[in-house]
Amino acid sequence: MKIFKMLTKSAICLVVSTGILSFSANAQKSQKLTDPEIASVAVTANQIDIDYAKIAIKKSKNQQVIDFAKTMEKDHGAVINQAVALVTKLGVTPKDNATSQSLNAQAVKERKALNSKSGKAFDKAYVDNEVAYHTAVINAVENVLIPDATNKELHDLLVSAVPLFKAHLEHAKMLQKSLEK
Amino acid sequence: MKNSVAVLGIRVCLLFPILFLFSCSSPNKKSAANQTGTKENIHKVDTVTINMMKFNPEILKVDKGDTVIWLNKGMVAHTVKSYRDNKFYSDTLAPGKTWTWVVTDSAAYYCTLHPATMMAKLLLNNK
Repeated sequence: MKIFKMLTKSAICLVVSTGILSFSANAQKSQKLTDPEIASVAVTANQIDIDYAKIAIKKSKNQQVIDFAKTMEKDHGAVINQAVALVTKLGVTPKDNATSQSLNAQAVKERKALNSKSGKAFDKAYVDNEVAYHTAVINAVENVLIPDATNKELHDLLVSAVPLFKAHLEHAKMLQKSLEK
Repeated sequence: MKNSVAVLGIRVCLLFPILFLFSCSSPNKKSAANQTGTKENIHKVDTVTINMMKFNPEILKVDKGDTVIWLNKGMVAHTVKSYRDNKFYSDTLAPGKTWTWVVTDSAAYYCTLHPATMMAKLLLNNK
């Protein structure tokens, strides 16, 4: 089991190195994330996708892309609301950490890249990033955040979010194919 | 002593018809929760639960006139829309909300907000 976890964390580090998602190597390699840190990572990861969606809603002219982005904005907003409600109930304060800082740093670069594009090139870049981002987030939630969570309610919230992120990923892939036509 | 025996006898006599009436009426009450209409034209009420990004059950056997209630037990909003002929299209269903449709035909349907993964069917029993 430990070997599997190490391999998973190594895989996530590989994803980091390719620039798809910058989960902190420090947090993944040796240290187990605490519940306040997991809460911070969860909120950050959802907020990043909301910010990407806001750019798409503003820039895209493709109705399918705009509709998808609106769903991302609402769904990830709902996850944040539930995470905030839970940590408030538990009296946990989300703790900023190397992983959430790294996610934010990578997101700044991605937003800059998205803002520099327009038209079909923008739609493709946005949707490609959504596929990559959701793939990485699902891996991280399933293989790092869920195993590391100690509070049952936080653990259950993360588990219930996985099917949502998987549905988003399939929706993004569907859009990706549609844009290729 | 005689008086108390007589009172007990009266109480038993009164209680028996009441218990008898309750025993007769209970099954009717139970079925009323799941069925609508007259004896000649009874329609059932089914619930499709939306949870973990799935419609449950994914295939529901129904008859014309039956009522289907979709209950959103998930963490985000959903919709319920038939693929063809605009048979039905719900409002946006926030978590905890329901939407109801009286069956007129079989229909394959999906969630417009999550179209790649959330799909299901209503099948008519005679088809």
